Amino acid sequence: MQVSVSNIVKKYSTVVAVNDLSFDVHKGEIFAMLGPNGAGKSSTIRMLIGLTQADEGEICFTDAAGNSTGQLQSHDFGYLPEERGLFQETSILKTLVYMGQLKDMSKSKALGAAKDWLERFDLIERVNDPLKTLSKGNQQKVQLISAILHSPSIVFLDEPFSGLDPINQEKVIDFLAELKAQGTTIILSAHQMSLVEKLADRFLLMNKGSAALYGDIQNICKQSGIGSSITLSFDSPNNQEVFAGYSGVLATEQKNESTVVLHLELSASLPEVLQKILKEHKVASLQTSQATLHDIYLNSLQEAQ
Amino acid sequence: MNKTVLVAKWEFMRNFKWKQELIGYAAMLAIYLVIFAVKVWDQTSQQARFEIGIVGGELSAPMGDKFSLSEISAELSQSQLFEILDKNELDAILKQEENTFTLYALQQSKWHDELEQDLSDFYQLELLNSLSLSQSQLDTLLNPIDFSFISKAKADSGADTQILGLMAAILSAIAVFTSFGLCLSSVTQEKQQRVTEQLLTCLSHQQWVDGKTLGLCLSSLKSVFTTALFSLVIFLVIAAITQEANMLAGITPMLLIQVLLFCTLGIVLWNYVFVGFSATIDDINHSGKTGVMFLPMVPVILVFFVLGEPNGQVATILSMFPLTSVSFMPMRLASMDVPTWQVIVSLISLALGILVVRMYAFRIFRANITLFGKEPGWGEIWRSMLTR
Repeated sequence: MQVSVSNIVKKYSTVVAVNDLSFDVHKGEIFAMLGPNGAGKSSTIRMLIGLTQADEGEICFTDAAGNSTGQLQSHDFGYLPEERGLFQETSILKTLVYMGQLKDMSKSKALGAAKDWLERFDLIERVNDPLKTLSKGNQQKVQLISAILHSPSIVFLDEPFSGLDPINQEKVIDFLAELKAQGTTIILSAHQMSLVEKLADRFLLMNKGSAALYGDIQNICKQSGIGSSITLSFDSPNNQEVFAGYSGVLATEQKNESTVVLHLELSASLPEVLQKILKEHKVASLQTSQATLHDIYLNSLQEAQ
Repeated sequence: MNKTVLVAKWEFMRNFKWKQELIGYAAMLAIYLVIFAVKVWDQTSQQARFEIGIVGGELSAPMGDKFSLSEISAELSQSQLFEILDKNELDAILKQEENTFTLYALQQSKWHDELEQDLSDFYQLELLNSLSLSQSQLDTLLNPIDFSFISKAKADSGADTQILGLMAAILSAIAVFTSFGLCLSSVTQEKQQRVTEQLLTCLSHQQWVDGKTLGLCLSSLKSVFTTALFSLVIFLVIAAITQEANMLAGITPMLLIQVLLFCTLGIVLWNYVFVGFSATIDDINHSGKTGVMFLPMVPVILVFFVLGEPNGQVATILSMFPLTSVSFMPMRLASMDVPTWQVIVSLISLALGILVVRMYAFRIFRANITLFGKEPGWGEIWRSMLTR
């Protein structure tokens, strides 16, 4: 399933939640929407799945056969909402079968699929327990299963990693990679930059309802203008402002009183900058690294502010 | 499977808890038995004979087996009277000043009323006897006429139609109140458990409202059915004990079908109201909207005022008005022969009422089911009703 979003706008009373947003999602890719709280990620997802309608603009979905539609059918997609919730008093299996049937699965297929997924998420022994008896992480797994039980061609996951411990975060990453391998298109929103960077093919960085940066990691590096970064440690306290005027230095960051991080422009020459620093300062140790999504994200937000 | 039917089945099965229901009825039966046992105990443990002292009177009448009278000194003060009572020599002391009696006792008791009635009867008879009337004149004066009432329904079936009317009214009240509780908890729970967005990606608002309404309607009918069954067993037991076998004779298949039809349609109508309004409520403990949910109490209470007048103007008109017919028409059907045209008008108005209420319930539900945190004001609810 491919998605094409053109100039969509969503207003709630006087608040503009999404403002003239355009992007495309390719078939079978993992597309990550990033941005601070209130950036418009959840509003965009809600419009994509038809929970709300865009005030302006157009959303178009194209299936594998090339048929285009403005509205997805319920069995075409899976959705993990930001605010999690399922029937707390009902058994896990009954809930999953019901959700599967609502997504046009037969009862027997839903039952089989639910048991398979619960087995894989180590929850098979809890099938008859009410959801409320599970831990928050396990409840989240059940919620995730309910979103993909019917093998949709596109999945929308709003903050899929929130509330999960690192082990379960890794499990979800593996699970999403597997979905992608099966050809499922995945659109997710998240705050965990390191996880998303590992996982996603392309990114949309949003701020105040608009696209700040958009594309694959190379593309958004180019758009952000952020290249490598250098972490400098000194024997004595040193201030980041000293390096602010250096040629090729885009931004500086004071880690502690004797450690400074310099973010270089994409066009900056790393050897030239290093040469100048070493000539003028007594550096105890240094470390260079490529710009991460985290750096780009923070820089993008700082620029916007 | 049609999604409306799927939701209806889900809602019904969620509330289909026979074990709890049987435990509930067993508890109710146990309570009845305890009440009955206490009543029997109270009757059997009562004192059979009471010793009463007479002060200042000339009362010499035989007072039956229950009361034994003995004269005591007229010169005693009130405190002296109580001293005598404290010693448990007498159960009470009756002070007579011509036709005025004052009873002194350590505490109030039920047999005081019986004593008063016996005294009153005795003096009435004394007075009548002083008029030198014959026995037949005396009997006529005491019971001038015999009066009894036989309705057509009672003539046909021998049943007590007022009891049947009361039963029908109680069953329809159970139906409405059960629906009220089920709808309120079902919708607000789903809001609080944040299931709403996920469900809305699977089905439309209309499918959800219809499915929920029908499923909860079935749950209410199940409660009505089990309550009716339970009541039937109790009535049969009472009938067997009291030899009043005709107590249930007026229940005909046609009456059952008609009552069931009105109960079902009435529950459907009220369930739409409940489901729609429940969507505006976030937390039932802190909502100002919960009061509206008590609206159906009005017809349910009103019907008990007109139980004895099933053919009166109030009962007739309200039995044909869609919001009240669920309570009034079953009562009337059980109490009398309702003209066919009135039954038909009532059914048509109920069906039209369901269509109108369904439309507005859907609009309110659609506008409010995904709102969390702040409940909509009355103005917003009104606007959502008007939004197509």
